[in-house]
Order: sequence, then C-alpha cells, then structure tokens
Amino acid sequence: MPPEPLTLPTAYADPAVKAFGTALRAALSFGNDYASLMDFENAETPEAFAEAVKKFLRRNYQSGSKPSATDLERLMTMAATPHDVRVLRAAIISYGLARWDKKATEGKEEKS
Amino acid sequence: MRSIVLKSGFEIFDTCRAYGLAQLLHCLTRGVVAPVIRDAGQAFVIELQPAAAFSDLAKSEEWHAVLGQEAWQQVFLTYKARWTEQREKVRAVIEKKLQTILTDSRGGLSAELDGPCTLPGPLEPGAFKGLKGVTTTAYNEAATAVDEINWALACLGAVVAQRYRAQKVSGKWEYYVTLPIPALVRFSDFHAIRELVYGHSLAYHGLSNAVAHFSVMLAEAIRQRAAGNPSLPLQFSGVLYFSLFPSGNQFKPAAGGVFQMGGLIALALSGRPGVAEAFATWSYLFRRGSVQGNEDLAEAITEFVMAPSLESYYRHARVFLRYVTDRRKGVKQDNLYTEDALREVMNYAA
Repeated sequence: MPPEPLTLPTAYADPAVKAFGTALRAALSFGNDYASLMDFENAETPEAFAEAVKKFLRRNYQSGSKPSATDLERLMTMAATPHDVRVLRAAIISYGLARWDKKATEGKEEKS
Repeated sequence: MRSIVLKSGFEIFDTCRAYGLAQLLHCLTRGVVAPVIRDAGQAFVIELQPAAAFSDLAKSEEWHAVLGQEAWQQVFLTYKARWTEQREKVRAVIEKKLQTILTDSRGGLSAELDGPCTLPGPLEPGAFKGLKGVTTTAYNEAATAVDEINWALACLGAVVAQRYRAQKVSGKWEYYVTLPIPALVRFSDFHAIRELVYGHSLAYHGLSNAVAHFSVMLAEAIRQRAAGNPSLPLQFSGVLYFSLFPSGNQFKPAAGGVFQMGGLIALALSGRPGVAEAFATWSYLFRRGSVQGNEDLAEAITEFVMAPSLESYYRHARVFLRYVTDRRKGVKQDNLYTEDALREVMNYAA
C-alpha cells in the first residue's frame, strides 16, 4: 500500500517542521533573513528545497533557534516529492503567522 | 401548519419567496411564533407550530416595520423615484390576497412565469430583459413577469433577506448583492443573525471580496448563536450573489453565482476552541485588506475563503507573512493566529 500523502496539518504538527518554522521566524524577526524566506518560497522540488535548507542553516549557524541535526534529517526524509515540498514550505512559513513570545526568543538569540 | 414554496428554477427568486412567506407568517403571529424554513430539494418547506394564532395583518407592528425598511428602495432600484408605488403594490397584493396565499401555500405555492407583474432585476438578475439564451429568431427577450402573489412574496423576501452593498467603482455606484440560502433556519434566529451581519460592511475590492466577507461574518454569527446550543436549527447551504452596475441610465447585472458554504458552516458549528480565534483573524484580514494599498491581503484571504486549497492557503500565508515581518505595517500579535486557530485554518484548507 502506498504511503498517505503528506497533509498540511500533519506537517505543521511535526517537531522537525516546528523547529525549522520557529527558526525561520526568528531569522526573519531578528536577522531580516528575507533571502531564506525567498529560497523556501521558491523551492518546488526536493533538490531545491534541500538547497534552501542548506543556505538557511549556513546563514543562521550562530542562531539560538537553530534546528538540530535530527530535525534536519527528518525534514529531508519528509521532502520526498514536489507535493511534499509544497506542503512543507507552507507549513514552515505558517509559524510566522502564529502568536509567539518574542521577548523569550530574543533572549535566547542574544545568549547564543 | 406547513406551507410549501415550490421552486421555479430562478434560484434567487425562489429563495426570496421562501423568506417572504416566512416573514408574512412571522408578521401574522406578531413575532410570537417563529416559522422554520427547510430546503427540501424541489421546494422550501415553512413550518409553523399548529397552535399559532393569526392576528390582523394590517394591525401588525411587525408588518409595518417591514414596510418601513430601507431595502425597498434597493429592490426597486430600476424604478428610481417610483419605488414607493411598487412597495404599496406589494402591500396591497399581500393584504388583499392573504387568504389565497395561506390556502395555496398549504398545497404548494407555484409561480406562474407568464403573469402580469414584472420581476425587478435587482431582486433576480435572471429576470432582466435581454438575450437570455441562444436563439435564431429573436435577438432579445422581455423582462420576466410572474403572478402577483409570488411577485409580492419575492419582493418582501428580498427586502428581508438580501443585502445590498453600494460601492463606488471608478466614480460610479455598483451594488454587490448577497443572499444566504436557508437549509434549516428558524426565522427568529435569522433575524438575530441579520442584526449581527447585515449592518457591517467594508470598502470592497470586488464582488468576490464582498461575498467572502459576508460569508465569514455569517459563519461567525452562526457560531456565536450556536455556542452552548448544539441542536440549534440554523444552517445555510450557500450564499447567492450578483452585482449590478450602471449602464447608461439603467442598472444591469454583472457577475453572479453561488458560494457553497458547507465548509465554513461545519467549521463554525464544530465547537472547537480555535474557531473563534480563526474567524477573528480573518475578520482582521478583511478589515485591513479593505484599506487602500492592502488589496493583496484582501485578495488572498478572499481566494482562500472562497476556494480553500493548499495553493490558496499558501498564497494567503505568503502575503500575510509579508505584513507580519514588515515592521512598518504594524501587525499586532493579537491579530495573528493562535496555534489552535492555525490548525483550524489548515484543516479548512485540506
């Protein structure tokens, strides 16, 4: 039986997507990293998505909100098809639309 | 007591007739007993408690209140200053033929489409004169005319249930008209919802924007009304809509259609905690999007509400995120989605 296609609510609830989503939100808020946002938004294939992730991690390697290696591995496993990529990029940028404790994250960023 | 309005095929006309008959029964009982409208497929069934006592219509305060409403002018927009004559004609027909209406509706009120009364275009855009179909003999057709009983009930229903939103577009006034289709609605609940929804409107960027905002307000009002009362009979299957634009000295119909609001109603009646917050954020997006310069925000949320999908959600998320990250735009935390609300929005998109 083929695996069920990835859905938006499932992707959003995944811990790896959450790690990348919150990291991107922090990068946008404190580092004005719009380049990473554009990379994620323009990624249509698993290869382009992997490239976007790589660039994002390179740009934000000192960030306190940086995702772990496990998160990275899991995210790459999830991005298997162009459909998965469309779902994942929508789920990742969605973290920017949710309310969050900006001050707590700012403190974390400063410590790092 | 059960009254039936048989459908004629003119969707807006039929829906208005159902609202009109329900309003008439509501006036006859002086608002004490509320009729329930149910869509039974080929007909609208209007049920009233058997013990309901009817009073003199001419002395009913509810009847006089309906006759005093401003919407008559919009329903008879094409009559210009003579709209009051048409309103008086509706009053005269209903008061004079009340017993016939009540008797005929028990067996099923069917409309005659070759009657003496011209159906106003601002009530039913399909009634406007002009070319209505492919023809090799005649190049135009007359306006649709119906029998006077169904004409009067439809006009009454349009006054009660249609929302006319006047909007200035390129220096000329256009009208965006919306009408919710009752699936199962107690008339008193409809009036309560009307109070909550019909008075609120924004500067819209087109008909779709007006319909999406109206539908979201309607769903939110249903959610509020249903809170703590899960067995509430209050469901609309969709929203009929069309626009009118000035052509020379006359108004003509432009775009129109029906928005199926099953997904929105299911969301509103789910009772889950994040739904109210999701509607609050959507409401903010419509308000913010109505401001000049924020058209992209309005278009994205309109597209998402009207045609939910991964693509429309993504477009909405991208546009909204631009506003959130741009400090000059000043989107407050309170206007963002909560985690629960975001999950509801994603489920709506799925």
